[in-house]
Amino acid sequence: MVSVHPGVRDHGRVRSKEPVRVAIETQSRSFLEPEVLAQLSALPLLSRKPMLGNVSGRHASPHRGASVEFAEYRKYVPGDDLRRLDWRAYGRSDRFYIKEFEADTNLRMVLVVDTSGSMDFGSVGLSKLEYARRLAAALSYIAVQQGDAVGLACVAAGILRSIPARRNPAHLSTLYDSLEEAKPQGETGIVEVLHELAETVRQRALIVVLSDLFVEPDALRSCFEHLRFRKHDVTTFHLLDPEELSFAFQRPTRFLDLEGGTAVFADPVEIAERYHRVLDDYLESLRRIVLETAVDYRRVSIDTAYATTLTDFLVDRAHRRSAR
Amino acid sequence: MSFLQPLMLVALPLIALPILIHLINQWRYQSKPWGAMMFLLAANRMNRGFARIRQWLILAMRTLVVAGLIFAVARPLASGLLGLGAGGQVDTTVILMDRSPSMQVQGPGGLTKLDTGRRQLAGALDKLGSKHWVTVDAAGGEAVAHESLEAALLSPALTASSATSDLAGMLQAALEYLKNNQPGPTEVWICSDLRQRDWNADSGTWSLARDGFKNLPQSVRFHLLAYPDAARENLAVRVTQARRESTVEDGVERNALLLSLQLTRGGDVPADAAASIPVQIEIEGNRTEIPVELSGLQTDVRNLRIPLPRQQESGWGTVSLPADQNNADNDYYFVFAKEAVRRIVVVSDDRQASRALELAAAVSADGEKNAAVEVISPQELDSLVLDDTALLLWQTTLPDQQTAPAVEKYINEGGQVIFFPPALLVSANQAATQEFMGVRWNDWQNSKVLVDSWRGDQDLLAATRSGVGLPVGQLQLSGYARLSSTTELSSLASLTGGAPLLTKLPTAHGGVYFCSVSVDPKVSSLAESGVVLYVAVQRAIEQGQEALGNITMRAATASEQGVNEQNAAQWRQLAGSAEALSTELSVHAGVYQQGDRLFAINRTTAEDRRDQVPDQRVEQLFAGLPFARVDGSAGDLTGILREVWRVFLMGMILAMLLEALLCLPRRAAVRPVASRM
Repeated sequence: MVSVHPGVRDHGRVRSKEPVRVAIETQSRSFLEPEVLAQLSALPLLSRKPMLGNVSGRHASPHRGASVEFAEYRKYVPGDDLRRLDWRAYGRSDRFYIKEFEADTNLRMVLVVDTSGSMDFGSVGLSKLEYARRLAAALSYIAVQQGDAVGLACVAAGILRSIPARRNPAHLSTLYDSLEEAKPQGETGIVEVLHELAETVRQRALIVVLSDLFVEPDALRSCFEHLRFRKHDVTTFHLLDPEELSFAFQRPTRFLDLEGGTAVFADPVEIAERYHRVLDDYLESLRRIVLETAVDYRRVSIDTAYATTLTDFLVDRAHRRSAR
Repeated sequence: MSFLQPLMLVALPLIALPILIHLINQWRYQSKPWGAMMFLLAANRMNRGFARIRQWLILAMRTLVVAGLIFAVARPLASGLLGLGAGGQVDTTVILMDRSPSMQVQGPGGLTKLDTGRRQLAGALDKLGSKHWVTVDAAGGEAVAHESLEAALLSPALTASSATSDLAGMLQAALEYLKNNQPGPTEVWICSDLRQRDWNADSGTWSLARDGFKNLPQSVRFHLLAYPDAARENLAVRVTQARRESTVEDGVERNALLLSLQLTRGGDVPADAAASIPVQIEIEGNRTEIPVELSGLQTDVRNLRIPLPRQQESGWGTVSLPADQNNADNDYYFVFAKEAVRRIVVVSDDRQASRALELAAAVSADGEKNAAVEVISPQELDSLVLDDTALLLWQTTLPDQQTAPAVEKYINEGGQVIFFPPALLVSANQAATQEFMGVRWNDWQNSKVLVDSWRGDQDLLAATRSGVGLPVGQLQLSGYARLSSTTELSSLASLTGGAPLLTKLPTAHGGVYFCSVSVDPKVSSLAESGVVLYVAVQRAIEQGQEALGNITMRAATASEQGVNEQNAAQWRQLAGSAEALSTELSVHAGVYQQGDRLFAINRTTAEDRRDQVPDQRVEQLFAGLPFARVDGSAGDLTGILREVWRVFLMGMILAMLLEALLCLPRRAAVRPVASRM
């Protein structure tokens, strides 16, 4: 039994809630590492866009609220609460102004985990799916810890398992069970699934995609645009194995398709150059698409420690928030 | 391509070894589950050009290495520019050498086509080896077996002659030899310059020989060593007429020789180029040289008058040209004598019907030597005198017992007789048709009939000197008389249905011909069209005159007429090649004497023609037979058969080097992962 006590977040904001105490049973969760969680729990998970939450939280809301963070002045209109009248401004300008503050709210995070056959590949001791499990578990832990709701969608040819977002700490166990049960199989249908999620998930949610994205980049463009249209904050962890990136084979090899396609005989020495050319084109297309669609895109080689990946992700987000 | 060690070729399946190893290696490829198939498939689709065929090239090189080794060990043979050769175990090798004058065209170094062919054959056949060696005389003689290749190469059948070759006849002779001796695998080597006259490609003998070879039980392969290049510049001389003329001037009798010459120019010389050619004329040792202005491709010198001693009635001489690329046509021998009388006797029971015979016999070819034609009716046969008669034309019932002895005596002295059927084959005082020398007229067949075939190569119906055939096929015949004979007749022309039109009765001397249609305009168009009748009659007159006189000018030939009739072994050579064997005098140009008779032997008229058998036609002549051809040129002694194992060895080494080059380990294009992160 490990107890993690999240500290009070800074930014000078007053937290109305007590620190959430999350207890996790890690004995049977191979993808959970308490040390890593303890390390990451010190970092906030912040959204890039205003979120629509049910309760007060850490994330900006599109509405004005009662936080300590000043938002703007506006002219007084009859009916406004006189308590919010800025008397100092009246004294200076002899006009009535209402002082407005940002509202803080929680968020809904939906973890989209690709469980297609290609995610079973891994040359560094763990597969891409296992890596995705670790990321998803850690992110969900951090989110629940800070009062955010977390949901899960395991995706292969379609949505294999869908868990709606909840902020109950007990909900984590359900999530972890689902992650543990997820098996790599079949082809990927992530494009269709993302379109579906864009419609079914309530607006202004944080959508975290954990996938190798082995689909045509142009197909992803429409997905990301759809999600952006629905005002979701989309984050993509593009998981790639080092062998997939380097293609450093020497002997002629029969490559068996993990997604059930036909096997391919190839001499890597012969085709490596063209492989790299195709891969570069693909990555460049993807980079362009995520820039155009404002997706928080993170290319991850799975030989990188997932703690590092998440730390970079969380710190980067925190820096963006403070810079704003 | 042939091999001296063909048994080694059984190892050829070993060339599949690299393919098998390649397949086994493929089966041993490592398998790897792979996720990023979309990139792999796209890269594979882009795999084009050299990279795609590299593996196949490596495989091909490895296969070539094994194949090259096996071929090299099998000792392949090559010839000239083409892959030609023999090989394997040869039982009998037959050599057919075209030894006609045109084969004596010289190349660089003065080596003739004949010598070149003989040397190249010697080199090739020595390498191939054979158990038996056979040569066939070019003039249609019999095949002669030799103990060794050296003996075969020294055979007279492989030496130069003045006679036109008969390739079809030689092949037929070779076929007969193979049929009679039943040897094992046989190779026939033909060496020729492909002249049309030597090949006579239209002869039916070709198809007979071809079918015969196809039906032989043993394998027979044909190799043609061809020298198609013509002489670049060559002059040929021919005496068209040598006539002794005796005149009386101022009461003094003067003798002169009227010599008509024909100079022919061949090769690459422009047709309008003029030249002065010094022509040397030698008459029994006395030489004179005259310049002849040559313009165009042919120049005729007519009736060149050369004074003769008053008492000289006959003699011989030579006309010579300066040496050129072919010396075989630079000399022409001639004989002359006091001209024989042109007396022709026509025996006819219907002078009106035989009028055409009189006309055909009366006018000579040059229009000057008009003959004395004497027409006799059957009733006047008692007064028949055939002394000094050049030709006897007979269009009445065959000679009876009273007349026959005189006619037979005339024939035995070399006389010429042509029998035509009369309207009534049986005379009034006879019960049945008369028989003469075993031949009799049977009956008339009064139905229209066409000429089916005729011999255009010799005798009375032969083609003209220019090669144009007589229009025998255009004759219109409304009937013919059937012949029956106790002896075998030689058919010179036959009708549809097989009945003979013109036949020749074989005799020791003289010529006896039977024409189964009369010259009566009611029966045939012989008189109306005239050409066939006139030419045949004039040729018969010339033959008769030759028999009467003491001189003979004939073409070099080894036919029965030439050898048996004149018994060439008894000839005494007066002029000609000193190397000619006494048994072969009839095929060597020169002047010979037998008793009081002089013979001048020269190349045939056709030898001056330069037309060749087209390559396609040559292929057709050997269609269906294993046939290979290699072209050479006079003086080029490049071996026609060479062992080329070195080439295969070099090829093998080259293939090994290429294979090594293709297999050089290439560094895979590895990209660090960090560069993409």
